[in-house]
Amino acid sequence: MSQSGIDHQKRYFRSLDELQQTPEFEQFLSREFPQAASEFPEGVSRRRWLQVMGASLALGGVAGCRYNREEIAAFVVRPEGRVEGVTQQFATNFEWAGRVVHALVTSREGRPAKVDGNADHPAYANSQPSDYAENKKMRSAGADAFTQASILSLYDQDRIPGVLNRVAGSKAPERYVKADKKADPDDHKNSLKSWEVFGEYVANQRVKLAASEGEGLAVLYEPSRSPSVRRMLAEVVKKYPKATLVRYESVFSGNVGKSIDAAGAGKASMVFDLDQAKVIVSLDADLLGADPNASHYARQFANHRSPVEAGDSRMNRLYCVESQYSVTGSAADFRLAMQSSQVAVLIRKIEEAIDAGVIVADKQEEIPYNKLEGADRVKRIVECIASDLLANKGAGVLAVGSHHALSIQLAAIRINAKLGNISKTVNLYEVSDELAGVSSIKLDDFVKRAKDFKSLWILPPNPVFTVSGDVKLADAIKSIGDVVYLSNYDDETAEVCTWTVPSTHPLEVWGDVQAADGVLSIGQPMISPLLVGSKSVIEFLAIMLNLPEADGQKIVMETASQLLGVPISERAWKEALHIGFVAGTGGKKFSGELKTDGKSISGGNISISPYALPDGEIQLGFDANNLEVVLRPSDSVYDGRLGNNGWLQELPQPITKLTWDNAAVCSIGTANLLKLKQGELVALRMGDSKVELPVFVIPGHAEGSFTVNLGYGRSKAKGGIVAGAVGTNLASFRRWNQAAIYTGVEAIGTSVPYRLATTQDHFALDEMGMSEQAKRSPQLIREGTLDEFKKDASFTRRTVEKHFDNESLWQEPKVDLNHKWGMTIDLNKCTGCNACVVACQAENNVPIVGKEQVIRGREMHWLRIDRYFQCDQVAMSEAHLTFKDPIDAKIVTQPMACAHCETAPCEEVCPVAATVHTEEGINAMAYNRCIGTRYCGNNCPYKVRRFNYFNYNTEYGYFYGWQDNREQASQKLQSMVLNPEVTVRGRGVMEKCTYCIQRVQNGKIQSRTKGDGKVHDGDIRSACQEACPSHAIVFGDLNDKTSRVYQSQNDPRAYAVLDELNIKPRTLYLSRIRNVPKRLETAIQTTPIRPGHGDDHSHESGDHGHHS
Amino acid sequence: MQRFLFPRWTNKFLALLGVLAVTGGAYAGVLFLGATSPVTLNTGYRPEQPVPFSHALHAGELKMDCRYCHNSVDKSAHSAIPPTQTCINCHSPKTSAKSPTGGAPALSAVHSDSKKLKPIHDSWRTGESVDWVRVHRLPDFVYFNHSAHVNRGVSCVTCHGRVDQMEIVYQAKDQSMTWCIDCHRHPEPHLRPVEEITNLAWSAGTEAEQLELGTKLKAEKNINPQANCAVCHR
Repeated sequence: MSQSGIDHQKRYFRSLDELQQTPEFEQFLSREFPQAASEFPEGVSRRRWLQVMGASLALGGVAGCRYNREEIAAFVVRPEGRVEGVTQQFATNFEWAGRVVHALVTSREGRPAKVDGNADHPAYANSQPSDYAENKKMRSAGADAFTQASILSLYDQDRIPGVLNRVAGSKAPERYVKADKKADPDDHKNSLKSWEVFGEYVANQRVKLAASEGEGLAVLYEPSRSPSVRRMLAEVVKKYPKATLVRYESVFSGNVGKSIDAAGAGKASMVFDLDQAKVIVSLDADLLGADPNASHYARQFANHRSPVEAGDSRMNRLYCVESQYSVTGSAADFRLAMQSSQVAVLIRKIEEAIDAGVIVADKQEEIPYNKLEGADRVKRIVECIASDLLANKGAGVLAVGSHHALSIQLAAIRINAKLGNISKTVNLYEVSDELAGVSSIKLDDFVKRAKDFKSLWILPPNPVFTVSGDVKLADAIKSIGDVVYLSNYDDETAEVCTWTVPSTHPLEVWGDVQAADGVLSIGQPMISPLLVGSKSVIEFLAIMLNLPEADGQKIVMETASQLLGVPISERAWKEALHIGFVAGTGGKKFSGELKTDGKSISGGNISISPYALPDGEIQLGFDANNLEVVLRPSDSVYDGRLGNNGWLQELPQPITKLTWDNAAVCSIGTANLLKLKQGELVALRMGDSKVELPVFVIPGHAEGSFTVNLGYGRSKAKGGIVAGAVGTNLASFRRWNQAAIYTGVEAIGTSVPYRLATTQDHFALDEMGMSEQAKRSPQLIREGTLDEFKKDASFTRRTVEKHFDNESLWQEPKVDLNHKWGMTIDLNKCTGCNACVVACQAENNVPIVGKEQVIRGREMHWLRIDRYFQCDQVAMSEAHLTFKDPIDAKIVTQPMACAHCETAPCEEVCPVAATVHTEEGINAMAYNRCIGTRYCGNNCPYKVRRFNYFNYNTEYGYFYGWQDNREQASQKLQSMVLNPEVTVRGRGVMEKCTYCIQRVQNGKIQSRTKGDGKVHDGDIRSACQEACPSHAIVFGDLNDKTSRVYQSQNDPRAYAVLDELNIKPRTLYLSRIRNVPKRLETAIQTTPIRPGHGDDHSHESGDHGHHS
Repeated sequence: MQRFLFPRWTNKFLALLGVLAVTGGAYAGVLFLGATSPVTLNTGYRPEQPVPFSHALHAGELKMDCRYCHNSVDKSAHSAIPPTQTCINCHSPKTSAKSPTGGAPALSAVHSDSKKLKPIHDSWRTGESVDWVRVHRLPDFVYFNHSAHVNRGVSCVTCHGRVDQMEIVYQAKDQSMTWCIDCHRHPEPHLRPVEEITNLAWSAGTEAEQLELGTKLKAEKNINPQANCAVCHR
């Protein structure tokens, strides 16, 4: 170890258990298969076991002689252009979980199978890295985790198969498949009704409404990005002038629009152009994670993360101030943890500093940033942010979270205007507004006035669940009585509605969307509605209003014609469907003068007070009298509407790595001082609001702040097969008037234990046992500052303490002359957003296993994202003594999958040669040979091998608590999501990343049958690479000297994880570089300790970390 | 209860029992291996099809190209079973007397009222598929790609035998893993010019001539089939 001692040694860890070296962590570290993996099934006697085994052997002998007789049902007339076994891709667009998706859907034999981004869409095509422009094949749009998982929701077994009619106060039918099931005497009243019966009701309704001009009709809707939906809503009021529209947003972001309107830009949407931005300041705005434009921003951000300045390539700088650790925070160059409720004070200070106009030169200070306390610390940060913004006028962005108050939104626009960023990095696009002039009321007003209404149509998904507890929407619905609800599920809202009409999945219908840039994008059906008769919002409204045109396509075409001003031609329509958008459309960029002084305000209904920001001092420390709770939509289930999606439920959330739950996330200091413990319930109280939920302690969270995700806590009965009884419902805590940030909260520990399924300790990479870990973990993660990189570009390779040159014990593998596959992952571009994890799951038939199995460490993800916290060792030990959080904790994310070692340790120990090397360097799995000894898993230093303890793919549902006959039906539907190009693995088989071998083989075959016999760079892309919004993952042929992957593996930042084992992995990583201002560098960042520097090891630090 | 003991005189049978056990075991083993070998199990499988379609007539006598019906064989992993429409191109059913064609078949009138073609005509009228019975079937974990082979000069006959001489199609080759790998290791005896892949009667001449041609084609087209697991198993 270096003579410089333990002072300021960087320390990386994945969880507090690891830091404290608890027995639980040690088990995960030392045993690849932690719990009860080797135990014999209990409760079966040896005699019984022999009987069963003997019988199955005999039966197997008889049945296994020949494959079953199989019939081939050929087409009668083959659809035009269809070649059996060849996939087709179609462009479509839809709204999904609050964001707009421009998708390219892969269709297999007429069945949508995978959703990716449409790289040709202007939203993506214009923001590709400059060096990708030449090679169109390398371009990708990326698609976030929600989008990737949307395909599973299509095949959701819990979608209601027909119109559901409930008589008020009676019990719901248990199942829908057979309406005449004997069970309940009430059943006939509650059963599925045919569309004809519903049609009769609608006809009666129309007569009534026509007579009263819609008096007493309310339509509950959520703001939509679809011009057709807006147009149909406007039709409601046109047809029934006395009807009332009720606007409801489950995740409130209305203040952004209000502030733009108040600034005089009218109805416009705000989009940042991060391609042009050199300085990005994010105040609680999760630009790269939760933002609706996140995947777009992530790509633009990553385009300028190259530490080498050349041409277009440069390094931007991202500041992030936030209460909870977010994806943006982990990608930031500098991050500060601060309560969300203090953002108003901070933005005031930033504005004052900008108004003062002083640029403080960025040079190293005497006292490093991490030694500063309280006000001094804040002062320096504000100075740095303001100076950087001032120095980059017109090339900076200041963004605030959409959940913040109007005054903060206004301040952000004002600051951007003062800096001249508007229309350069901050663009305002005028968007069409079909609802202009149509008034609507808010949901709470509607509930108060419920007795004025006689009938109600509900369009948003499950408002009864998503609304705050003080708005008694369920009671209001019950009192109205005559309610029609358009829904995918028989959920909490359906329970109180008289009619529930099945709604479609966006991949089944015609639709349109306008993203923030205003480009009109068309959605086309990929498949007929799986549940016959289900309706989209526009079709539903057309039927309810008895419009002459109820066909989805015609409605969308009519909207397009109205927007274009001329009827859209057949040819233009076909072209729009082909490319996914109507060429030549797009919002007009706002170019006028913004009124930011608060004196002349459009609309006139905003008083001067929103312009006032509170003054005061920012309190970074813990104050028991000033606790806050911040409620955010979940990174997994959004507001709960994606709750029944197993891929998302089991997706480890980006920072907490929590699955199947929500929790009160807080800092170490806060937990210690409030005597809260991880995995115990805490009661959060504010007035009469109260909720109890488990605590999750994490470094780098703001002191005195709790963050809780919404969307969990569906009831077992109503939540569906996946979402039922997962997590805690926050309705009882939430208040209508407070969207996201609750101050003056009390937190009381209850000592009631609660089991959380977090994957943060699973598959921890052990290098040389626990004692060596502190010293060696920087080798797994290599990072430095831009300053260090400029001084010494090869610091990455010098990070390793190398005592001798490794000599291989193995015979070196044969290398094929044709191909040599490899991968590079750029840690500087990776934001840890999880898109690749879900993409891998969708591509490779990776099953979900349920909460119980996750707790046992049996999750099956082939690709995991390791999230390491990094702290100053001293700060860390001080934190332990003083019960304070080391608030400068940083995060590095590292996607980890099979690295396809050239001398793979797993292959050496397989007794049956089930895992072997191909000539092209892929470590292949022959599942049928595998007998499940798990030796390979034990011998894998990266811990990327996964074992099938059960038939997860066929015994679907069993593992999260359902054991009824629904299981069977669900299997059939769910199996439609499986990729036929990849074997579905059964119990007792080991599996792992294959570098998407199916794509490699098909790519090679296609190059010979259709191409020139050569595989070109970009012809073969792995699923994770295709999904990555920021181009952090590059896959390709290392024999091709022009390929991106070859070039990046020869980058000075390239290194191999666990290089010292001489296993020669084909996946290399590019080290993380932080562009930290010198004044904000911590001591460890200023003087990093590299074993290769100044110590007496006489070794060469030259050519290792890569091999070509 | 009294324990039962075998009387002493039975001891002489012990040796015999041992011999029986050994030979019986060996016999059962050989029988089992022989019976479960792909050669025994798979070759000669000849299921009855819903329509007695004769490949010997169509592909043999009439010399129709294989790809007239199995037209995705050079484009896709699968060699598609033709849609009913393909049959109807020649075998249209008689239409009703009231139709515009006045009772004559719509397209071509080969056996337009044949009873044997009833399933085809029914399918055409109702829009329901004809359920053909699959003859050649590989396990689900094997990913065979037709286009990769036929575009490189491996003929249909190599894996399917002389289909042009079969009245009812049966499995001619065992299509086991060793059988696949043999060819992947030594493709020379099975390569031919791509133009001749559907000419099932084609021959390069003697074995030596075939080897010479195969070696030449292999070098020309850079055909180096791999024999690792990942080629077929994904």
